[in-house]
Amino acid sequence: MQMLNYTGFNYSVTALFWLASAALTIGLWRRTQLWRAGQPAAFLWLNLLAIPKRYFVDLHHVVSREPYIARTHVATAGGAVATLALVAVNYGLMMYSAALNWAILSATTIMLGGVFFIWLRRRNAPARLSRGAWSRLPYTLAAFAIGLLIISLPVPIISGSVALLALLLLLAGSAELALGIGLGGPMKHAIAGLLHLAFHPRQERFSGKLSTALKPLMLENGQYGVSKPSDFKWNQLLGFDACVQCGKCEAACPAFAAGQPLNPKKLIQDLVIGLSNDEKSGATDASFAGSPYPGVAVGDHSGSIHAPIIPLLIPAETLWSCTTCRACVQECPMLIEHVDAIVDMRRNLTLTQGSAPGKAPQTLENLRETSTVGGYDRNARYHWAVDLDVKTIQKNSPVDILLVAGEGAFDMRYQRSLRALVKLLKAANLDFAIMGALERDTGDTARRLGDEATFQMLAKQNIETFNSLTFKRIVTADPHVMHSLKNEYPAFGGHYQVLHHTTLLAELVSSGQLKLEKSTETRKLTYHDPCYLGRYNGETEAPRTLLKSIGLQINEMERSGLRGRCCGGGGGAPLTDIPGKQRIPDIRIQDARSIDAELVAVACPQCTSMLEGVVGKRPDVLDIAELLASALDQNVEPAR
Amino acid sequence: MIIKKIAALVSAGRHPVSGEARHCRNDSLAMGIGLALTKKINAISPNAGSTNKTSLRVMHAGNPDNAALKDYLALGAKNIDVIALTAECNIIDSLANELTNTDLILTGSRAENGQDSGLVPYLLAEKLSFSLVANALEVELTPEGLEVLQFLPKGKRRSVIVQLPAVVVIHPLAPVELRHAYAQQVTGNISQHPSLRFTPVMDQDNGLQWQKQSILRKPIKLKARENKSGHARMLSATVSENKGGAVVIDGNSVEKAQVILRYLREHRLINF
Amino acid sequence: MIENNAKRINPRRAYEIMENGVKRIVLGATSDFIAHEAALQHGTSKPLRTPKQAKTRILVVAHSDRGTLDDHAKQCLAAAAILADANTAVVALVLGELHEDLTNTGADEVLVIAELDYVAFQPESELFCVKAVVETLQPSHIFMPDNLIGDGDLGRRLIASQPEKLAATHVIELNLGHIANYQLGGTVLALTNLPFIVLLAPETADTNLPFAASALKLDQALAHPVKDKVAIANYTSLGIQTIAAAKIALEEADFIVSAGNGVNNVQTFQTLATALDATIGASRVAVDDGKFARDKQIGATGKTVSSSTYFAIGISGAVQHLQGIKDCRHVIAINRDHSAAIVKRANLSLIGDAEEIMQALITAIAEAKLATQEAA
Repeated sequence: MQMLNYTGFNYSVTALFWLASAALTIGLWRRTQLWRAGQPAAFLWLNLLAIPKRYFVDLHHVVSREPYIARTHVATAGGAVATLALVAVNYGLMMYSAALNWAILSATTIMLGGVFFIWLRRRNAPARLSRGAWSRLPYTLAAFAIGLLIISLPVPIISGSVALLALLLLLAGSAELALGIGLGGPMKHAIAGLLHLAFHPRQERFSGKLSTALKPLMLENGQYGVSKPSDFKWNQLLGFDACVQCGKCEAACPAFAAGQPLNPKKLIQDLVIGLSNDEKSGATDASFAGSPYPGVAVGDHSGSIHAPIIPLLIPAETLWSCTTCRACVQECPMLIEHVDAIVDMRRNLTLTQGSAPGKAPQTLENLRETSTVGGYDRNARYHWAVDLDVKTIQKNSPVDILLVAGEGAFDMRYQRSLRALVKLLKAANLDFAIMGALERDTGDTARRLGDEATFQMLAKQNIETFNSLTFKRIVTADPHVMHSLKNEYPAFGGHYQVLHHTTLLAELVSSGQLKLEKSTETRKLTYHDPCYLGRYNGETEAPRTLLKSIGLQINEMERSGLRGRCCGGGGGAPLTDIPGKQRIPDIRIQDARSIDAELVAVACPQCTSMLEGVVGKRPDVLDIAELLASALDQNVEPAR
Repeated sequence: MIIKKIAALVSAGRHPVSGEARHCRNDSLAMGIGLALTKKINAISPNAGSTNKTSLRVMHAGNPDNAALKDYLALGAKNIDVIALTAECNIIDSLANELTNTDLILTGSRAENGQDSGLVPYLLAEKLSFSLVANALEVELTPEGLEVLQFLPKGKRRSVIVQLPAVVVIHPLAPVELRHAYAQQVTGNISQHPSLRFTPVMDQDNGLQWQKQSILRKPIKLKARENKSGHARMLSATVSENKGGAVVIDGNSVEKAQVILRYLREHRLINF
Repeated sequence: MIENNAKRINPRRAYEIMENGVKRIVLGATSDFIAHEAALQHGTSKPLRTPKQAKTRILVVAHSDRGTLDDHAKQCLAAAAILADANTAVVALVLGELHEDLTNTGADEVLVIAELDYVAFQPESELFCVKAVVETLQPSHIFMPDNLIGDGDLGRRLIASQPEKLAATHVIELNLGHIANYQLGGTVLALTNLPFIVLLAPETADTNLPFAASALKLDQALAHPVKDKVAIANYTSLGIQTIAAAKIALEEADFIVSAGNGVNNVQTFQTLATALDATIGASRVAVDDGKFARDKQIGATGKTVSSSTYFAIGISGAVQHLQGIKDCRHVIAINRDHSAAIVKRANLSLIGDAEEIMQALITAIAEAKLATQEAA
C-alpha cells in the first residue's frame, strides 16, 4: 500500500514536472512571439554558448557590487538550477533514484537558504525595489523549495497529508516558475536575462570594451527612431523583458534624484507593458509597484505593441529629463541599455514632430544654421587665443596635435581653462594648432536631442574638414567632443586618435616633457568625474594622476570614477529644462560640500558651467588645466 | 464667408551671423497660421469634396534651388510652388499674376535677404486691389468676414473684420509654434508648376541707389546744431559723460523710494 | 455749400515788418505770421525757428495716443525741424486728439484730425486724409514714425499707393545728405539719398532742440471732411482690448519688475508690481527656488526682454541675466551689495534692503497716485 502510494506519488511529481515543462514551453513560445514583434537585428545563435561566461563574468561583475544580494542570488539561482536539473533527471526521466533525491535535498536546502535571505531583506527593502509580484517571489520560491525538500526526504517521513502538502507547495512554486515566465511574472527575468546576455544589442560590451556610441540611423531608409514598442529591435525588447526591477538605475539616476519625471526602472517597465500587449488587450501601468516618475501618478498610462508610446504610455517630459549620463546602464545588473531606448524615442519625436521642448528647438536651429550651439559666428570661436601666439591649422601644413575647443570656446569662463591648456601645451613644446574657423560643432547635442539628421550633417562636414588636414592626434578639453569624434564618427568614416586633454597631459608629465612644480593650492580638493570622460570613455585615472603629480590630495566624493554622479549638463538636459524639485548640479555640489571640499577640480566645460551655476556658498570650480598651469615651472621658458 | 484659396508667401531667409540660407521666421509664422487656418476650416466640413476643400498654397518667388526652401518643408509645407525668378525680376508683378484668384494671402512682416522694407504685402495688395491688415496675431473666419486680432504695443490688441480678398501681414509675436521635423522635409515637395512658367516681368528701376556699408559703424543720431559759447564747448569736451548709472547708498528707504519715483517721472516711465 | 471760383483776397495775408516798421504783405505766402506772433507771445527763451514765410514744407504724420504724441513721433518732428532750412516749415499732421503743446517739438504748423484716432482701424480714411493734405501742402518730404500704432502701416500704404515716389522704411540714420537702414537681415547698413517718404525707426533724432516753433494750428478743412469721402469700408473695427500687465508676455512688456535671490517676500514684490502696473520677471535663482514659474525667467537660458524699464530687485546680475536684458533702456536696481554686476549695468542703483525699499516705494506710489487723482 505504502509502496504503491509512494510510486503514485513519484508519478505525480513526474506528471507535474512534464506539465510544468509544457506550460513553460508554451509560455516561452508566447514570450518569444512578443519579442519578435520588434524589428530585425543581426545576431548569432552561437552566442547562446557564451551565456555562462557572460553570466559569471560580465553580469556578476555588476551584481557583486552588492555582495549580500550577489551571494543570496548565487544560492537561490544556483540551488534552483541544480534542483531543476536534478528533478528533470530523477523525476522527468522517471529514475526515482534515492541518491539523486539526496542531491535534490541538498540543492533545495541551498536554494531555501538563499530564499531565506531574500525574504529577510524584503522585510526591510530599500525604496528602489519594486513590491507587488516581486514581494510574492520569496514565498513562491520557498514553496517550491520546501515542496521538493519534503519530496526528496527519505521515504518513511512521508505520510499522506504531508505528501499532499508537498505536492501543493510544489504546484505553487512550479506555477511561479513555469506559468509565471510565460505570463510575464517576475521569474521571466531568468530566461529573458540569459537570452539577453546572448543576443545583447551591444555585443562589444562582452569583449571588455566600452560600448557607448549611439547607433546611426539610416535616414535615407526612412528610419526615424522609435514611435511604438514594435519599432525597437527585437533584442532591445528582449532586454527590457529581462528587467528585475531592482531599481539600481533609479537610485543612480540624477534626474530621478532631482525630482524630474524620470525613473529608468519605470521607463523600462512601461516599455514591457507596451511589448506585452497587443492592441486588443492594451494594459495600464496600474500594477507597477515601484517608485513612480516623480510627480506623475501611476495608473493613468497604457499602451500596446503597435500604439504610439508618447504620450499615452510614457510622458514626453520623461524622455527629455534624461542627461544621458549612463549611470543607469552602469548600474544595471541585467545590462539593459536605457539610454539607447531613450534616444531612440527622442529621435522619433524630434525627427517626425520636431517637438523637443524648451530651448532645444532653438539650439537645433542654431546648429543647422551656424554650426554652433549658441548661434555664434564660427570665426569667433578662437578669439580667446589671439594673444597667445598659437598656430591655426592650415591645409598642407602638418601638425602633431590638432586642438579642438568645442562650444566651450564661446564661453568667457571656459576660455580661461582653454588658455591654461594652451599654456601647458606650449610649455611642453608640442607642435600643435587650433582649428580656427574650420571647426563646426560635432553635433553631440543634436544627436542626444534626437536630431540625427543635423548630427549626421555636421559629422559629414567635420569629417570632410578633418580629412583635408594633416595631423596625428586630436586633443580636446571637452569630453562630449571627444566622445563624438572618437566613438561616434567612425561609423561615418572618420577614424581619428582622439585624446582628452587630461590624458595627453598625464602622458607629458610621466614622460617628463611637461615639468610642473608642486601646487601652492592648499584648499581641500575633490575631483568631479565628467560622465562623458569616465563612463563614456573610461578615463578616470589621468585626471587623478595629474592632480597627484602637483602634490594635491584628492578627497573623493560619494559616487566617483565610473560611478560618478552627473552634473546635469549632458544630453541637452539644460536645454529641455524639465522642471523638478531641485537642480542636478545642486545635488552634486552638495556631495562636495558634505566632504567639506573647498575646491572642485573638473575636466569638462559643461560640468564647469553647471557646477558654477550653483548659487549660494559653494566650493570653487577649476579645470585641471587651470590647476596645472598655475603649477608650471616659472623658470623654464618655452622654446620658440 | 467662404474661403477657398489661401496662399502663404515665403521668402528665402539668411542667417545674420553665418549667412547660411534658412527659412525667414516671419514668413514661417505666416505659413504656420495658414496651415492652422486651412486645417480648421476643413475640419468644420470634413465631408466636403476635394474641390470644395480650402487649400493652402505655399509660394515662393525666387530661386527654386535655394536651400532655405527645405526649411519650410520641414516646418510643415507639403508642397512649395516656386515662381522661378532671378534677382532682377519684379516679384510683385509676378506674384500678382499668380495670386489674382486667391481669397487670402498671408505674408511675414519683414524679409531678411533683401531691402527688408516690409513693403511687399502692401505693393501686392495695391496691385491686386485687395484689402490689407498688418500686425496680425490671429486670424479666424467668421460669417462677416475674416476676423483679425492685431498687435498694438503695450499689451493692447485690436480686433478687425476685413473683407476678402485680403492680404494679411503676420506680426512676429504671433502665437505660432513652429516645429521643424526632418521627416516632413524629406516627404515635402518643391515644384515649379507648369502654369507658373511665364516670362518674368523685369523690375523697373525703383529709383533708390543703395550703398552698402558694414554694420560695425553705429548709426549716428541726428542732433540739432547748437551755437554754444566757448565755455560750454570746453565743458562738453572735458567733462566726459558719466558712463555708469547713479548709485544711491546713503539715506533711508523712504528717501530711496523717492529717488526711484523721481527717476521714473523724469523719464516719463510712469504717469503719476 | 455754394461753390464759387471767384478769387478772394485774404484780409490777413502774410506780412513782413520792414526795418522802418512798415508791414508789407508778402504775395503767395500763407498765414504763417499768426503763428509767428503767437510764438513771440509765448515768451520762450529759445529762439524761434519757424520761418516767416515758408517756401517748402516737411510733413510729419503721426498718430497720437491719449492726446499726446509719443517720443518716437516727436523724434520725427525733431528730425524734420533739424533738417528744415530757413524757408521750410514743419507741419505736424496728428491723427487722433491732441491735448499737448508742440512748440518745443519743432512743429511749425499743426493739423489735428481727431476722428482718425488709432484706436479705430480706418486705414482708408487715414490714407485719404494724408493724400488730401499732401495734395494741398505739396511737402518736399514726409516723415513718419515706423511704429506699430498705425503709422508704420499707414506709411507703407502711402508708399504703395504712389510707387513712383521714392521712399525708405526702417530708417535708422538720417541727415541732409543721406538716410540709412539695415538690409539683408540686418547684416549691412545701406545708404541712399533722402527720399520723399521716410519711415523712421525709434531713436534716430535727439528731441532736445535749441529752438522753439510756433505750432500753429491749421484748419481741419485742409484734410477735407474725411468720413464722407471713403465710400466702401473694407474694414470693421471691433475695438481694442488691453491685456493686464501681469499677463503680457515678457518679450512684449514695456515695464518689468524682476525678482532675484534678494527678494524674500514674494507678496511685497507682487504688490509693488501691481502698483507699478508692471509685468513680473525673475532671475534663474528665484525660479529655481520655486518662487516663480519657469516662463518668468529672464536671461540667456530664459527670455530676452526689451522693455523700456527694467526694475531689478535683489538680482546680482550674472552674465547670463545681463545678456537677457541688454536691450532694456532704463535699468533700475535695488541691491544689498554695491559691487554687484547689476549696479554697473543699472542707470540707477539703490543700495539697501530690498524689502524695506519696496515697502517704502509701495507707500510712495500710493501717495503719488492719490495726489495725481486729486489734481485731476
